[in-house]
Amino acid sequence: MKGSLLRWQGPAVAALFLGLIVGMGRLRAGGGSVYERPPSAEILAASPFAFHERSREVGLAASHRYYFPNPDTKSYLPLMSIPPSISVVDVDEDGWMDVYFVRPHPEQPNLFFHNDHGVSFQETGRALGLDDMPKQDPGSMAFFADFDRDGHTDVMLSRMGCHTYLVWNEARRRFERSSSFERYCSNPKMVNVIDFDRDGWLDVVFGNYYPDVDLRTYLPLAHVFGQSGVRSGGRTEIMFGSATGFHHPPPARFAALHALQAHTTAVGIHDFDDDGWPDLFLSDDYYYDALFRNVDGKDAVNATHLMPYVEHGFSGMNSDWADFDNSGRMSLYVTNMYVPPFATTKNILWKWNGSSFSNVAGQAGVGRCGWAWGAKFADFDDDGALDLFVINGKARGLGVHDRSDATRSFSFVRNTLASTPPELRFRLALYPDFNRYVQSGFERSCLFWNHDGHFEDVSASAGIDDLEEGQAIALIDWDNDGRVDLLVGNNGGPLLAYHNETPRHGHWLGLALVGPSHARDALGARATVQLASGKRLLREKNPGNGYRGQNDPRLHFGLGEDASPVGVDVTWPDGMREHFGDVATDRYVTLEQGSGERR
Amino acid sequence: MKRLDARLFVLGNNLLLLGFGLVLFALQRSAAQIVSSIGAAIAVELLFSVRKLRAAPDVRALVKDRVLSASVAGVSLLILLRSTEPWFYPAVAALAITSKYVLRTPRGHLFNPTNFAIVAALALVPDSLQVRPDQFSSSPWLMVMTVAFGVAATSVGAVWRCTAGYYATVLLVGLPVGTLLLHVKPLWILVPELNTSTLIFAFLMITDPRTTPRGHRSQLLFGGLVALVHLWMRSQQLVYSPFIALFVVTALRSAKTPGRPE
Repeated sequence: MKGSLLRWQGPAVAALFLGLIVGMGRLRAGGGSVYERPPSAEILAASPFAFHERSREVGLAASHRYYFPNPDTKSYLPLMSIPPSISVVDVDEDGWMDVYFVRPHPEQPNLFFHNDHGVSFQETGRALGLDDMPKQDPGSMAFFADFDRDGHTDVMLSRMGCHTYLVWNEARRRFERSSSFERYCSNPKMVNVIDFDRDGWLDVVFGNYYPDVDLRTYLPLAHVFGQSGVRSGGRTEIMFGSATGFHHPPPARFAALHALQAHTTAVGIHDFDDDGWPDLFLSDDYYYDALFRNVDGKDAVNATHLMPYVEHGFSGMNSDWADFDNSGRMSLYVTNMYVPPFATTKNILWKWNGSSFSNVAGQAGVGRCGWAWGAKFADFDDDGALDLFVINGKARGLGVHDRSDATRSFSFVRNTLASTPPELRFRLALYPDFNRYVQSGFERSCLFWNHDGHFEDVSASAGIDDLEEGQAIALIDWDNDGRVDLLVGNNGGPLLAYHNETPRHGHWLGLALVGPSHARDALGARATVQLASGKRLLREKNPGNGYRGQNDPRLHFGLGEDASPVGVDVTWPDGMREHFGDVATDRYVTLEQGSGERR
Repeated sequence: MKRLDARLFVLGNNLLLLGFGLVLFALQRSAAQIVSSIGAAIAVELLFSVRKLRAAPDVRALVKDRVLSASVAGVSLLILLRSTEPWFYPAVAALAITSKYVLRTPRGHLFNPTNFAIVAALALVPDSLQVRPDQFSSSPWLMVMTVAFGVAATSVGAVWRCTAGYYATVLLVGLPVGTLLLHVKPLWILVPELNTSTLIFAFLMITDPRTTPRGHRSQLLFGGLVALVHLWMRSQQLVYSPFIALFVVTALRSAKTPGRPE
C-alpha cells in the first residue's frame, strides 16, 4: 500500500501543479487577467466618476493610421507603427485650450483644433501652417512654448528624422519654419522641454528611441526581437536654446547621458533632489530606466543607483511625477508591460524618501494595467487626492479587427525569437505572417481612483471602456469647468475625447503660472496650495511629462469640501519664491511672477 | 585518475553564464539575490542532511557533495528565472532542495530540483517570476560554451543519450511533422532549439543522473519523450514547454520506476 502511494506521488504532484497553471490561464497568451484585483461592489458604488466620449460631438473626430516608414516590414508593420501624439495649448491666449494632433502617416495631415469657448472645436491646422504637409519625415511629437522669447508661442515639431522648429509670425498670423534651428536629425519617441541650465532659454530634451538610422530602410528586428539588455537605441540629447538658436552642448559635456544609448521612450522632468536644477528621468525599453541628476546645468550625472536595479521593468514607457499622497514629495510613475505569461513586469511607482527611491506600486494598487503606455495623475473628482489614468494595448495584425480574428500570439513568437542567434533572427524568412497575430490587443484602460490612500481601478463603471490601442494621453479642461478631461491618441484608431461629467465633485482651483517676459512659460515652476484644513497640495508645471502628450499647462488642484480662498506658494524656475494670499477658488487664476509677496 | 563530478561542469557553465550575464548583458540580479539563492539552497540541503552527516564516516566529503548539489540548483535558478521580489530566490531555492527530500521513494528523489522549483513557482507564484533568460540566449559564444560544458557533463555522467534522444526527436519527428503537416518554416522549428536556455535544458537539466533512466535505450526514449511533449506544446503556442515537458515525463516515469537507488 505504502509502495503504491509512493509510486503515484510524482504524477499526483504533477497533476496538481499543472492544474493550477492551466487553471490560472498561465500557459497561453491572454489566459490571465492583466489588471489589478477588481474593486468591491461597495467601492464601485461609491466611485464618483462619470466620463463620456464626446470627440464627434465637440468636433475632435480624427483618427491615426498605422505607419512605419520601411515597407519591407510588411505584415508586422502595425506592431512597429509610429503612434500619434497630442499637445494641449492655448495658442491665441483666449483662455480656452486648443488641441494639436500629430499623425505620422504621410497622407494624414496634422490637425489643429481651435477651441471655440469650450463648446466645440474647429480644425484650422492648414491655415495656421501646422498641417505639416507634405511630410518629409513622419512627425513624432510637438511641444508648444515661447522658445524665442518674443511673447508668442512657437512649436518644436520632432520627427522620426529631421526635426522642425516653427515660430509664430504675428504679421501673417501663422507658424513658419525658423532658420534658427540647426539641422538635427534623430528618432525620438518623445521630447520634453525645460530650461535645463537656467539661462532663461528653453532647452529641448530628445528621448531618441532608435539609433541614428534612416527608418525608411531600417528593419527594427534587432530590437523588436532583441534580447533584454540591448543598448542599440538612440542617444538622449539636449539641444540648448540661446539668442542665436538651438545648439548641441560641447562634446565633452553630458558624456554619461550620451553613452546610455538605450531605447528611450519617455523623458520625465522634475527636480527630485530639490537643489533647484531640474533632473531627468528616462523610461527605457529593453534596459534599465535611468535617472540623471542635473549638475548646475553643465552636466547630467547618472543617479540610477538610487532606484533598486532589480525592480526596473526593462520596458519603461511613461514617466509622470506627482505628489499622489500629499506628502510634499513627488513620486514617479513608470509604466511597463504586464503581459502574463510572457512578461510580468508591472508598473512602478517610485517613492522618494529624500535619499533613495522605493517601489510602492504594489501596495498602492497601481502595478497592473496590461501593456501600459501613457499615464497621468490628475484629481478627476476634485477631492484633494490625485487619481491616475493609464492607457494600454499593443498593435494587432492588419487582418485582426475583432478579438476573435486573432489566431496567434505575437508575444509567443517574439519571446521565442528573442533568444535565437542574431545571425538567424535577422532573416525575414524566419518570420511567420503576422497578419492574424495579436499582441496585448483589446485591453481597456485603467482609471485608478485614489480612495482613502489606495487606488482602485474603476474605469469600467466610469465610462472609459474602449478597447483601442492607447498610446498618447493629454490632460485638458476644455470647457473650463474645473473637471479634468482626457484626450487619448490611439495607435491605428480614433482620437478619443473623454469629457469629465463627474456629478459629485469637490471645489477646485486652476493656476496659470506666468513667468517674466523672457520666460513666460515658467516650465518647472512649483506651486503649493495651503488649505484651511492644513492639507498642502503640491503641483509642478512640467506639461511634457507622461508619454507623447503635452498637457494643459495650467496647474489643477482639487480642494474637496473647502471652498474658501487659499494661499499659494510658488517657486519659480529661477529660484524666486512668492506667496499669493487669498486666492479665490472654483476658477482659473493667473499668477504672474513678481506680483506676489516675496519670500 | 579520479573522475570529475559531472555536476562541476553544470555549476561551472552556469556560474560563467551568470557572470557574463551580470557583466555584459545587464542580467538583473543583485548581490543579495545571488547570495540568498545559493545560501538558502546550501542551508536547506545541510539541514536535511543532518542525520546522514552525523552517521557519515567522511563528513567533509559528504558536506562537499551536498554543497555542490545545492549550489547547482541555486545558480541554475538564478540564470533561468527572473524576479524582482526579494524573497523569491531563497524561497524557490529552498523549495528545490526540499523537493529532493520530501518527494522521494526509498530509491531516491523524483524530480530534478531546479525543474521542480520552476514548475512549482509557475503554479504557486506565477506573478512573481518570468522564465525568460534571453539576455545571454542569443550569444553564439555562450551557446558554444554551453554545448562544450554540456558534452563534458553528459559524457562524464554517462547520460548523453538523453540529449541525443531529445535532438534526434526534434530532427526526425518535429521537423517533418512541422513542415509537412503543420506547414511551419523549418528554421522556425530548429532555431529555438539552439538558444542557450534550451541548450542548458537539453544538456544540463534533462540529463540529471538522479532522475533519468540508466539504460541506454531508456535514456534515448526519455529524451525523445521530453522533446515530443515540448514540441507539441510549442505547436499549440503554450509557454514554458521545456520545463513542463520534463516535469510531466519525469512524473510519469517515476510511477513506472520510482527513482534510481542512491
